[in-house]
Amino acid sequence: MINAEAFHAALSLLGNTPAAWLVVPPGLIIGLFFGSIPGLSISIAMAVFLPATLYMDFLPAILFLTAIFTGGGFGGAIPAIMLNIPGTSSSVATAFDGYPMARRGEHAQALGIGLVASVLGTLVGYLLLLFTVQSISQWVLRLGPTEMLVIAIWGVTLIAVLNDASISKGIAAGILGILISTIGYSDAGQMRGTFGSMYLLDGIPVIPALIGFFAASELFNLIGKRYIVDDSSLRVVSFRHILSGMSQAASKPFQLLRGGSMGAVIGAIPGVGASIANLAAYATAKQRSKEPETFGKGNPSGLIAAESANSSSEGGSMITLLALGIPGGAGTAVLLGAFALHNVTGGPRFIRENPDIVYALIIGNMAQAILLLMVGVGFIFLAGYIVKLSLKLMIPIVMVLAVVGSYAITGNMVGPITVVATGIIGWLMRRYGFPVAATVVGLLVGGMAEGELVRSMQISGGNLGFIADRPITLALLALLLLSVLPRVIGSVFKRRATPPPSPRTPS
Amino acid sequence: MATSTRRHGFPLGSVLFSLSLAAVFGYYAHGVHAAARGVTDWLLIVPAAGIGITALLTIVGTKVIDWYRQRHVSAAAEDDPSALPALLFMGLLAVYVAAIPIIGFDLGSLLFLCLALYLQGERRWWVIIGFGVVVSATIVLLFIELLGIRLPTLLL
Repeated sequence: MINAEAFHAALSLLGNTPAAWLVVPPGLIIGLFFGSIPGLSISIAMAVFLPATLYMDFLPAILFLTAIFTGGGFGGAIPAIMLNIPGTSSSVATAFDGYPMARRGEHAQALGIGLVASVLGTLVGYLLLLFTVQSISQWVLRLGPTEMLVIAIWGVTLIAVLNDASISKGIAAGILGILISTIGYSDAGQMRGTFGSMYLLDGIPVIPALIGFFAASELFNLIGKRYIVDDSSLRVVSFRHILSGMSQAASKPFQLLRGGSMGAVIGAIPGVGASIANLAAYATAKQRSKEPETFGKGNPSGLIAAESANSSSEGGSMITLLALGIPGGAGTAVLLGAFALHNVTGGPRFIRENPDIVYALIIGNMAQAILLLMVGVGFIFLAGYIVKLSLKLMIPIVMVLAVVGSYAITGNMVGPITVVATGIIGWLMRRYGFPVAATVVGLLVGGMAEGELVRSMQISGGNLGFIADRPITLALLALLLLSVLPRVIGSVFKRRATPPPSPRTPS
Repeated sequence: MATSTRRHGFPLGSVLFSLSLAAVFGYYAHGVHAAARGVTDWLLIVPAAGIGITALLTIVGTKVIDWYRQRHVSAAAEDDPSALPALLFMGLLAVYVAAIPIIGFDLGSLLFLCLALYLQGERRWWVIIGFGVVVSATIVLLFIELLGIRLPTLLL
């Protein structure tokens, strides 16, 4: 629970450090800017601005970087909603319902929903961190390789099975992503699928692949269309619509709380992070909904779940960073770099010796979330004008940004080539009804799944009975089966009961 | 949407794509297994490829059975937008990326932007060139000057 003395010390520390507040608004704007440009990630923004914190004190430095983190978390939702291009890997599920809303002219509402879900999700994440930072640090240590493996498989299976395409297509698409993630040097030092190219030794770069699968393939489909929103009367950007979306999200506190809680818990697991939180919360919201068939077609509940979860996972990932000194993802890895830059080492000892700083970080981040609400409204008002842009001009611009951005990420031509190759594969997949999202999730968790599988085998000596002694693994496996079986059984019965579909219908 | 009636055609594209993916999965898994020095090298890949191939063959089987059951039935055909503009754009993008190491991001982006606009029906030369110059210069300079990223260029 909360250490009251340290909590009060944290409040006075924040009150006496004005620099900690001055750096937050620029940090949020930088995060929003980087997050909203496909190809530029939050971790790039944090890394680029890490040297700027060298001459700051520890607290302002970390709050500046977490402001970039918070702003970028929502910034990624803007292109996901407006262009079906997740600005960051943690906005993949945001595009599922956000983009269909934008296509039918509800872009302003969708952005408003996304903003409130992000803000409240961040608050939920940090509130949970405030109350549990001491005890969760003990629980996270109990997750071993078998538990992490089941979590990774769960991530792929959920998205492969719970989509509008057939289960077989979902599984095949998920496997494609997993296999792509294994290209390059293995942990054991074997070269796989590199065709002898030294550029592929590090594997297929994830962000360019993500841009290709989501953005390029969708842009190819939009060639020939004039605007994202076909109906000119719907191409309106107004504060009224943004505010209506914001109140729509605020009127669903249970969904916000569920997504936020899931995100915080998943974010606390090292290596899993916001990407899986975003997808898992979306899949859960779809499963629990009375209208699951409307998900993927512009259901605001899907957007609320996805955005609240990826934002709250930031608080969750801070648990492992502060309590264990382990970064949960790329963003927290940069934060760990900032810790090192200021000669601070995260971990149980840091929490024990500096509870006031820990609480100051948590309270500061909660205040950042509220500031994001104000800064974000202005930012999304400007971003909303994307629907007024002619696709004839926008498609080449976004494509050049994606190519240049992917080169910036990899530092060589592997990035742009990956964008083109995955864009073409993604276009073919969309054409024949394969869910591209399942491939992207497979790509994101494939490396982790392989590492944990190998470690599980080494620990168990290949004996499957080893799982019987791990109750958390068994519980996670039971949850996995419970979440997937209803859809599988339903799909089998549905196929028997209905005539076959038209062969030209992509499904 | 305009519709017409026609016989159900064989889903050739879908079947070929599924079979091609299955072949790629099999080729990759075989290659990894053949070169493996231990079980950990293929522990994930071979079973995953097996599951993927099974799923893809199920898709092919389902498609063929559905087609066989409905081959004599006439159905309302949905408009299928031509893939030609998308294919041309993909080709242009591939040429752009292939040309970057030779002509740099500045000239490459300029040519790509101009040709992409032309491909989408724009015929006013001053719009094409103005758009290409402004956008390519802005993006390349943004990355080089503001973000400090070294891009290969020819003119800038």
